[in-house]
Amino acid sequence: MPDAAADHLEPTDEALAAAARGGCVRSYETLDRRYRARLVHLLTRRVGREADAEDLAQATLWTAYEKLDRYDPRRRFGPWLFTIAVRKAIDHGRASRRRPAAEPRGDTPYAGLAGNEPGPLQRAIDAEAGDGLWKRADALLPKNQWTALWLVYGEGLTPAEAGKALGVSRVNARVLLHRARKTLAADLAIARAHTHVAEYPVTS
Amino acid sequence: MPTPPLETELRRDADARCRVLADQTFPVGDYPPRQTLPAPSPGPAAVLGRLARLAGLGAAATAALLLTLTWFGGPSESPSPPAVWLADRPAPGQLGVSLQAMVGGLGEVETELGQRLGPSLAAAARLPGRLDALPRGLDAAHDATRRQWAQLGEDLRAAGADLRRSWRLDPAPPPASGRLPAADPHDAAFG
Repeated sequence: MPDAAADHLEPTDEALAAAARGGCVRSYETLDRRYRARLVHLLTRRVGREADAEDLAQATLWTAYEKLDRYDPRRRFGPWLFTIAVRKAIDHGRASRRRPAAEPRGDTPYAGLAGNEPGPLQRAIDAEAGDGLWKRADALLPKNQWTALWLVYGEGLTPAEAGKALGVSRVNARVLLHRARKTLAADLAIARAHTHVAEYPVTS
Repeated sequence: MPTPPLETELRRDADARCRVLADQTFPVGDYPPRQTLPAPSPGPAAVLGRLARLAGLGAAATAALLLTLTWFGGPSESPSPPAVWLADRPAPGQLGVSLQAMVGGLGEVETELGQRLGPSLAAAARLPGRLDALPRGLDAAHDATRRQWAQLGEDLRAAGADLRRSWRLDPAPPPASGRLPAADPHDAAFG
């Protein structure tokens, strides 16, 4: 999530996008630095392999740069960029299905990582502190549920913006969010119950 | 200690992950000046917009053509008096025998000439005179053909007379009646 304190010191994404559209390449390079890792993170959950995600992040940023004329500066830049990224991931998935020797891919974001070495970003995420609520989400949630949840809680999009990025209606986006939270809550309750049992074992 | 709501946990852990992401460094893309970029191809919405505009232009052009044809091809508003006005249009069952023969003869004439004669009754009414001159303009080498033409001429001549008797000529058309169209241009070739 963007640092609120830094927003007062640095130009907003929208201002940078407007400057880039006017011809300032350095402004777009700043946007690139702000968003590339976040795009790779999101796209890794969509396509499974970090190397593919890096390629798609590059394609996303390039496409956005080419199409800056179509960006409306009155709207937020992030949701627009993530919408392009999700479209790239969907196209990538279609192309992969057309390839005859495509590796088996499951429905969960991590399923495609089986047999692949995690990239640098994945290793950094694996080492992150905390009790791992998002690690549970990574492992448990289907792609669209995970994407909706991350776009709302991680990137600060509204459910409507997340729905637009995913190509679903606002209602469907809320359904995805509800199901994701329900799955996580159930898994978390089971995990905490086990912890409670471990801490307070039942003695006969 | 009470467990925080799931939404709070999600935001808190997302912030932690975002900090990890912010620490990652990826090489920045190499972007050329936007002035050197090729013109972007039109998106689907732009393509659909263009198609809609083309369809609109096509529809407008078609409507204009139809309007023009209706205006110039419709009944003439010229003050010149029409050749023949029918007070009443007889039903097909009311046609006299001679008239039916004439209509049948018209088909034969059309077949012989290989072209369509004027369909108007005004032209048909002048057919006997035209038919008199017709054999002279045709290659009628065989007697059978001449006899056929002569018989057809007689039939049509009788039909023309029947037509003149059957239909009353009005000097001015009633508003609801139809005006006969003018004779075909090639009528002049037959006098």
